[in-house]
Amino acid sequence: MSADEECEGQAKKNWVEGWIGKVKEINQKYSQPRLHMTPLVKASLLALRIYLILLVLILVYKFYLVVR
Amino acid sequence: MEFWASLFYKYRRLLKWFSLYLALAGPGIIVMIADNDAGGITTYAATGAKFGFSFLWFVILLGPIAYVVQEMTVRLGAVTKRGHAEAIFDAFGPFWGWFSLIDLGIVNFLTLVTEFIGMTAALRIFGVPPFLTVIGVSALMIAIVMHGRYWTWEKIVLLFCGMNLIYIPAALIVRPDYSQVMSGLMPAFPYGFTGEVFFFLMANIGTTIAPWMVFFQQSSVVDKGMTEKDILFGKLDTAIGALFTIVVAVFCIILTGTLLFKPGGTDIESAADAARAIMGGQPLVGTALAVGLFDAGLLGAICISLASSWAMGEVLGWAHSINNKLSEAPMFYAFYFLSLLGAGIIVLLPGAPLVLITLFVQVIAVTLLPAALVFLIVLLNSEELMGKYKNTLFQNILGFLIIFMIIILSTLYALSVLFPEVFL
Repeated sequence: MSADEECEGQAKKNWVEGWIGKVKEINQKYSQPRLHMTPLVKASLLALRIYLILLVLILVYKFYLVVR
Repeated sequence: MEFWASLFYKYRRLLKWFSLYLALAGPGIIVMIADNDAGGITTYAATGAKFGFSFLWFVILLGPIAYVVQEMTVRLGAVTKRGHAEAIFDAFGPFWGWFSLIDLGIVNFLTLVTEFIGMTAALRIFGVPPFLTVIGVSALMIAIVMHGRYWTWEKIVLLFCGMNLIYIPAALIVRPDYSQVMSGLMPAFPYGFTGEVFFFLMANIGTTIAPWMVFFQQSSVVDKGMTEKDILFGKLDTAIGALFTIVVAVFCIILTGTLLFKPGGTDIESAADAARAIMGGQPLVGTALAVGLFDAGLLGAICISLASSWAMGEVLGWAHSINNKLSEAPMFYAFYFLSLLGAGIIVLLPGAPLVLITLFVQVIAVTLLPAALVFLIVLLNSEELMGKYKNTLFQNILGFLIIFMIIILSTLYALSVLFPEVFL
């Protein structure tokens, strides 16, 4: 591996680590949500999200049928 | 004498109030008119050609619905002074925050692609090759945001909003049958409840209210510096925008409903195809449709790419105001440029089913909308966040009715895809 390639590899590694660090920092910053949600509300929100994603997958299937 | 003094005083007060409104107007009008984007114009043109005036009543109904949703973002932005992405992270924590941000990123990027599809198709009518459109439009959009002043950006965009009204004279020129138009204002489903009807109704909802609008208007209100005392003007601005958006939608449907609709319905490939078909008999009207389509795509692209950049900036902590110069907010502007570049490249891919992508993106956007609306309503109900500006019971009922209607329609459409024989 040449010095240039090694340098490029290190730069990429730093870039990825920088982003991971940033995400961790954001997660830490917002780790205490201001609004308290009961487990039932959380479960309902998750169920709604999953249901909507399922509907989108059906749409993607329809899109595939039409294009094919 | 006292009467004239009182009249003059009232006149001066009204003038002052109106000047203040003009200074604060912008976010509501821009978000609502940009909502009639390339996908929107394509959907309205296709609706008119396919169903004539039959669904005018439905499109008119979408005006108040859009107002109810967007008015909430005005209050939330003015009271919390935070953009929507940041508000979700703050109120619900990182899990829901990332979920919403990724949702928004994907849907916004797909919608941005549809804006470029519209713009390239519109200018191709005039012989401009797509690659030139992509380059030219990207350069124009970069120039618009590079002033480093929100005020300048807003006034330029309002100028493009004015061009969106081109469908009104265009529809009047073709002399529609007004008795038929009036009959379209009566709620009815003359084509039954087929999968195709559900698809078109959802696409129309998707063009009128979309997740990016919620993020855009709230960030825009914050960037403009509006506060609690400006909420009334923000509401008025949003109401005027909602009125304009529906008027343009109605006239666009009247235009294609008059010229292209035949009993049994006419399938058009895109708004650009509609413009090309109309140009044969009515060159002026066809040209207006094409110019309007380009303008709609440009407005949509400006607002959607900004909505994404604002949201990313709020969460990732970048400087994220149009009032910042390039050197002050490099990541904010880099994200804006890169999203434009990415969408432009996809449109240039040969053989992509561009029209189908446009219609499906509208439907996907509306399918994901209830999740964004639920968060919006929960935020608006927080006494701690909103104080006296929190939602009333009536506003909550309206909000949940909208969510319920969208979920029912999305479900019916999904069922019609899985079991088409039931919805024949």
